Amino acid sequence: MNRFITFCLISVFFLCASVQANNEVAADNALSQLFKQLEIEQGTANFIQKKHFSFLVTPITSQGSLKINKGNIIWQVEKPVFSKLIIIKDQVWQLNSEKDELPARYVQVVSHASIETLIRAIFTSEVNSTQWQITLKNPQCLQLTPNDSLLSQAISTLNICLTENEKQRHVTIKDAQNNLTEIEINITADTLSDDDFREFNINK
Amino acid sequence: MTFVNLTSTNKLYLWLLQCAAFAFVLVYLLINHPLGVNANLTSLFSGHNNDEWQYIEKKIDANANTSLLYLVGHPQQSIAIKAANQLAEQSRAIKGLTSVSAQLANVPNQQMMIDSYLGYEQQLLTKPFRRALQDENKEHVFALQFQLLNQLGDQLVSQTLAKDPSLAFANYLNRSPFPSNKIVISSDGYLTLHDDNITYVLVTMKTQQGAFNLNSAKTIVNQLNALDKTPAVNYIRTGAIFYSNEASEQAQWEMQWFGGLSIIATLLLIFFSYHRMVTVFSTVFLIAISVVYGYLGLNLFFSEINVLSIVFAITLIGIAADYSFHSLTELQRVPSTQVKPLNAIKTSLILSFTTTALGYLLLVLVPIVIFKQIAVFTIFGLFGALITVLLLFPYLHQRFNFSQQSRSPFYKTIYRQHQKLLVKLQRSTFIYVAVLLLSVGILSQAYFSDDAKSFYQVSTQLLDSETKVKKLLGQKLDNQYLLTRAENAQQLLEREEQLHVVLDELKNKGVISGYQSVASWLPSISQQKQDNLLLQRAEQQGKFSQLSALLGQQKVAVAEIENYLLPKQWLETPLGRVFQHLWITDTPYTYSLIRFSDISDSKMLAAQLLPFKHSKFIDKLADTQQELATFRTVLTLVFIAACLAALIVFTVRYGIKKACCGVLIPTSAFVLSLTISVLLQSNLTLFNLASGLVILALGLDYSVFYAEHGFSVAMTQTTFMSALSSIFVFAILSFSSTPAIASFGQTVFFGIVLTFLFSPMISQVSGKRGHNDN
Repeated sequence: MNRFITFCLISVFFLCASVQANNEVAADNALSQLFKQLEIEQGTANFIQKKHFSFLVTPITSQGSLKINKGNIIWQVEKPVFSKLIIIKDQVWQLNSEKDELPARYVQVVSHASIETLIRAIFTSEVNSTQWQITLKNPQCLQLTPNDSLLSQAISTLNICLTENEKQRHVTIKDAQNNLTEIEINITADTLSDDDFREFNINK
Repeated sequence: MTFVNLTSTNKLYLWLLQCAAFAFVLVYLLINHPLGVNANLTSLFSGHNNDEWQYIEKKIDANANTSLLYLVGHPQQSIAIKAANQLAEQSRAIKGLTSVSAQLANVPNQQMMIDSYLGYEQQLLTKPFRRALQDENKEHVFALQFQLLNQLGDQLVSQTLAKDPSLAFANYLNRSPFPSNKIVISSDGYLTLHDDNITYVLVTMKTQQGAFNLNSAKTIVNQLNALDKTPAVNYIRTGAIFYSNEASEQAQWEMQWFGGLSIIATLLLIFFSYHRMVTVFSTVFLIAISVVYGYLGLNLFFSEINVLSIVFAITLIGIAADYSFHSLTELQRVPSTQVKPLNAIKTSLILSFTTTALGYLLLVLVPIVIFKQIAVFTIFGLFGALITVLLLFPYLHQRFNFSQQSRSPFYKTIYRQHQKLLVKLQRSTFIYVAVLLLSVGILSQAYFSDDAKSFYQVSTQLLDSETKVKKLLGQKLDNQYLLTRAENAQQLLEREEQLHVVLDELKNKGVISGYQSVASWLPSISQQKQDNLLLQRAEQQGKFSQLSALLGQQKVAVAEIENYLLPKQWLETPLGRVFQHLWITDTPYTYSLIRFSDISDSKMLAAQLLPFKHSKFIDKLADTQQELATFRTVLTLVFIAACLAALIVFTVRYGIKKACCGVLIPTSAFVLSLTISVLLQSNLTLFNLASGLVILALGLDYSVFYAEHGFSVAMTQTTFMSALSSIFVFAILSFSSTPAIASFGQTVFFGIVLTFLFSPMISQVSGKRGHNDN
């Protein structure tokens, strides 16, 4: 009888382990599937950003456009105040001249928090597992928690979600003081024009 | 001299007595003030020790030279961290290493940065914010404020709004005090970098002694090499210590092989020439005694010697060996019973010592420390050799009888061949003069390279490591910085602020990509006062109305300044501590450093900073290059002065005609050998010039003996042995893998061959004393 019970227990254990392993494999598959869907290798997009401060009744709203080319990003805020950031490789450059002034002058931004890591994660879904803790919140949403201690002092979680519209992404950022930022990204093109490519060349 | 009339035994006692006295002094010095060896090529000059700038510079350099770092990389961060911890733990056990760290303690976070300015929030402005406030257009201020509010992943606004509703303070803190943004600080404090799918963990450490202390460098590097390495983990390291160790390892290997081979060849030559083992031992003993005397001299006058001094001081061996050759050749001729066996060459030996010592004595006057060291070592060493030859060799002759019935037929043949060649050379003197003039022409067009980097041959592995580390860290350069001084801290901050104007322009032009300075994070009192007034005025002018409307506030309040933030107090805050290494106060003046990143045009940077008379742009490489150029000029002057000194001594003894001949021969041999070197190397270095001293010392020695004793088989034997032994010692250096040493050996080789060939000419010039063939 004891042998039978032992056999049953071992069987149940292996069954559980096997189910758990299957679940882990399934979760990994779902995660990589979601990564593939979220990833934007090249293209343009518009965004609307709403920043909800706990001390403000109405959110700070801005809108602008995005250009992405193999991990390099142009993040341009059009309204209400123009600003432009370009991320090339590990460096963040900010436009230092007037909007239409030529030639455009850029200055390198060395931010205290790893802003480059954050923007890259949000706008390209290019996520480095050493910099972020990645969890699958639901089949449509990825939750990221920063590993970098300086960035983790600034934000607590970052959610990147797919919506019913496959050209749309929804991003929420929660900081340590419970301020919430919502960003809606709408992909407008999967390719870049020659002018767009030229825009990435800040040393022209 | 009184000892001349003593018996050989009494001379021996006298020699033993002075030896014992010197040995006592040497032992005393070795116990109480042991001599250190320094391999730093960048501190050649000794004359500026009282200069405070130099003192500070030296202090900063010493600190930079003690740093070394490892990047421990693996695709998995956890494995990289584990390996970094293991490396740090094992490195801590190494004696001579200190401050080993894989984790960063007390990195100021945003709250700490905010707290570093507690109570001073409304007197701090960045340049863009200041410009925007001064602008008539209100939009510019609002644009900056909105960018802050709209910034991603940022809490600065919410954390500082209560303290400064104008957001000027948030703007002030919205930048990094660290030079690079490539480093990610993990939640547990590890500094990590991500490159090419590999995560690197940074491990930093310091050596207790500078990298140029060869003994400690070798011990530490050997221990670091022996540490357990985790398989599949990539270890990249850099630090001055690895360079200095590699250079010394290479030099040691070459010294062992080249030195060993040349010593064996010289000993065989002595044995072949005199057919007696005792002559070999006598020569080796004489060289050893002269080295000990030279070392005693160094101990008496210096606490530390440069490795370059040792390289040049080897020339002593060649000259000391010559004393032995002269004496042994003479002793071969005279019976062992003779009371004063060296009487015939005594004057020549003393004269030879006087001319050489005078030449080297000139080096003592030069404000370059290694010249002083070479001079002291050589003069003391030669004195030891001279006194040993004069006092000990007569006793050895009496005891072992060096006399020989007949001279080796080999030297008779050499003598005859040399005589024939000399006749031919004398017939074509005009060709020699023409070649000499042509050489002077070629040399006047020759390019002298003063690039210290070209003196060494650094392994590609070391260079690759350094390039990779610099690329990964985007580090600010340790050997290029701006040093500024003032009478007090406030004046220093104001001077830094004036410098920022120029540095910002250079940054816009792309000459530098950034700079790190205290005044960028701590304004002077007068700047704090101005900035507060500017904020107050802006508020009165309604420049914050758009922000007020957005925040739903009636007014953005700006308080009037009450206290000023001062360096002493700020440098103790968490943020200030990051800048402590840029602020030096333990000197009569207060000094600050400004470090640069990615200098694209250091000449332009230096030129733009030149008008700031209280600042000094330190460019270690360029400075060393300039120092080496001066060193080279001084060396040329010393060579000329040594020639003049010899000319005076020779003129007094032999008259002007013979003196000119005696000095011109080694000088022209040097000029010709330099020309051959420039044709072979395409450019010349300081080391080619340094060989002139060896050629001159040996050439003058030959001149003295030919002038005193004429061109004979005995003289041919002595000069031939001297030339050949010098070739064994120096010419072998041509095969050194270190370009500097190779070029030194090459020039010495040609110079000695030419001097040897032409030296007997002096015996055919008539003079008031000595031997005259005519």
